[in-house]
Amino acid sequence: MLSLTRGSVMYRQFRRIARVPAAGLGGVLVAGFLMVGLLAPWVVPLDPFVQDLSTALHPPSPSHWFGTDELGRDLLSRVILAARVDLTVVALGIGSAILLATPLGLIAGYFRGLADRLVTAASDLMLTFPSLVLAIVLVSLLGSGISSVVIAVALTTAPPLYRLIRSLVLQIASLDYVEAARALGATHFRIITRHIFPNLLGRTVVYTTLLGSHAILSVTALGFLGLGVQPPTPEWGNMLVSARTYLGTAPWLTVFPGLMIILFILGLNLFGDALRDLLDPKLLWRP
Amino acid sequence: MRLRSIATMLAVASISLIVGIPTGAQGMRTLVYAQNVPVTAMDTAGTAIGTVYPAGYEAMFLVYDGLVRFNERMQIEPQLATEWSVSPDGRTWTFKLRRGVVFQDGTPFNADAVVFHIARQADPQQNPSNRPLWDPVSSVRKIDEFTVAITTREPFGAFLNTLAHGSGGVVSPEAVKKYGANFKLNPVGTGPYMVEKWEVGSQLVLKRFDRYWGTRPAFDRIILRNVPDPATRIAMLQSGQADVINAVPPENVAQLQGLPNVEVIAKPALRTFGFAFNLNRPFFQDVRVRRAFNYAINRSAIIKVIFHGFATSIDSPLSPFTMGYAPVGRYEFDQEKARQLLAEAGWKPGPDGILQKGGQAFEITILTPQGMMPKDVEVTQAFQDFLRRIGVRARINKVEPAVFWDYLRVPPDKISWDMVLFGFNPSNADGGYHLTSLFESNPSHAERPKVWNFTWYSNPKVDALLNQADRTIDPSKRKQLLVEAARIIWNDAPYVWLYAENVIVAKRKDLKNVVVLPIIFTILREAQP
Repeated sequence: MLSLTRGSVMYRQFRRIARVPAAGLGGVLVAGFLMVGLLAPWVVPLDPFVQDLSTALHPPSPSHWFGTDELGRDLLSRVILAARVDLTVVALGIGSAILLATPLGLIAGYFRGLADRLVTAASDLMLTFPSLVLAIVLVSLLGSGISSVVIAVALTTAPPLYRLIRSLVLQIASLDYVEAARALGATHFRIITRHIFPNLLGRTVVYTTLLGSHAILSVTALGFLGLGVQPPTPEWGNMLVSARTYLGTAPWLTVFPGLMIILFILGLNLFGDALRDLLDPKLLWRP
Repeated sequence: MRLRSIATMLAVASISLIVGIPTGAQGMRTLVYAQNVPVTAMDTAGTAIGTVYPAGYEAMFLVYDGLVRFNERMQIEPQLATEWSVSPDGRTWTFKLRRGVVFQDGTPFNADAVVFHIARQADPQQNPSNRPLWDPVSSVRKIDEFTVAITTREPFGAFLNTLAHGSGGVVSPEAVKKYGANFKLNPVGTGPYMVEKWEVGSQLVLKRFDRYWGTRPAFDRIILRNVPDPATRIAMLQSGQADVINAVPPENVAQLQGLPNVEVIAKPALRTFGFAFNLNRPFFQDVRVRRAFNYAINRSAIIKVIFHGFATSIDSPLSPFTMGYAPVGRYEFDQEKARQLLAEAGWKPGPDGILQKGGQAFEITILTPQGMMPKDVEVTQAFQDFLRRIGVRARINKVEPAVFWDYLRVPPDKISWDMVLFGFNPSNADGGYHLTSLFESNPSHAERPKVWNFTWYSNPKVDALLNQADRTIDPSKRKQLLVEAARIIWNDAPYVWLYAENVIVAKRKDLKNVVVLPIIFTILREAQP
């Protein structure tokens, strides 16, 4: 199992990866966003909802580090609160996708048969739609709001995740030690939970991290199209759409939310790569 | 600055890739007008969804002439009719027609053509659109080759407005017979320009009609091109690929005004906006509450900041250029007064600062579409914040433009909102049409609102005044009645009155005689290079 005690293999791996600047940067970015998201209500410098029309569209200054928006609200505070909103939607969406895809993938991959064929067909069907189109359709059907976006993210993320888990289960279930466990009379439940599940965890976690960057793009794209959260709640995508017409006159309105999306995705991807190196068994025994 | 010019260059480069640069023959005078929506149909008797506003009517105003027309100040002027008179009972209008006019297909223009046109417009089967404008017409007959008489069921005060409206363009009877249902794609009128080539949805190429009755048109060709993105339209004007562009966002006006060879035309439009109350809600049945909301909002700050000055604060439900307008009142920004009125109505601040009455907190839902009306979501958020400051908690429900109307056109017990952002544009420029559509009592509470009275406002005095105005022909008497009705409505405050939007068009500075009508139409027929 994973152990980070000094001198262990994992610890050495961790040190090795932490020395790669890109991986370190990824970790710092992701951790930073998570902190800001979690602590948003306490770290915002000003109330993100209070308007002051007399100070609208002010450029960045000591009193408003990121400037003010078209209604005179502090942009930094809104970007921070938006981080909380976006991260929450992504976390809930991906979390639901995991809860949906993991049992289905385990059952389909392990037992095969009719259940496998049905679930795989359904997931293939969903994969034939571009995920954003599917998300737009879902949100239009469910009505706009946070919960619909979460459902849309979950349903568009679940099929690729399900396929990964199923293929890993197929692979692992045919390994000798699983055969051995079966020969010793272990129950299906025990084989799945003790022998298969732990061994697919690593790659699933890595894949999920990378799916996170797709999810944030879907969420902000939906927000940009006006299908996300309700105003005045800020969200990076809907901040970009209202800022778009000010691109020539107040570029900071577009730059900062856009930068946040870029940095968050960059962080997730670097972190995901690092995590893959860390958890890949093939790399694990290298000195 | 450098970033912006690079962005402009990229935009221009991408446009030239997409639409191709017009390469007219040597010496051809071509005018290019970039519109925010496409021209999709050009039959004056089209279905309501056939013509996209305003592009369709702008094209029709080039191809067709009406019996009369609106000038720049929305006054009626002769066009195909040279003079007219009304019978003493106010029901029969006699028009003398212009001589020597031919349609673009060679058909002569005469009383038969007008009889054909009026009968076609008045028939709901052939013309399902603009019914409030044409329903009052009962019959039309030819008196001689160049005289017609049109009769209305009742005296109809706004009849000339109907004739000047975009649907009043006279069509060639021969062409209608020839093309049938396809006439909307093969329009033939008596106007200065006729269709040369039409790629429906992307661009319409019009050429000069050589036998036009009026002054010889100055351009050989006018191209109406659909360019939905405002930034692209602006880039096209800057680079000389367009001579005129419409729907300029207010925040881009300053940028355009800084350019040496560009002129911006901005004027109050007829569409007025407000937050409509759902008067079926008990807490909005007290007029003091509705007036308090009107005092709570700072219109001039919203106009200055969100519209960059390009909107006009209103002092009547009607816009200043609407017929029948006169100022009837003001609600100056005064939150103290708003709090006081709410207190009189029994609303006192609770421990959390939210107003309470009988244990109920003052919480409402405001409905708004996104991107359908100018700055809709921004204005709604600003309003929400003004309400918060007087202790009213408002939640915003932002919906897709496509489903927005479904929230309004429902019986009163199915209404899901407490307030809604709405704007109405009287496309015939008539205040009677505007007030009747929004404020005349609905016939039945079991059905959807008859027109746009989704506030379910009902005041017998207003109904009587509007009804009387409808039957009054004399313009000054009619105006008196409409002003009286507007004053009562204003004081009853079924809306939080906001502003009239501005119509903003930009053009090449040396281009002359571009007429921008407050009904949001840009008229290019007299444009000169």
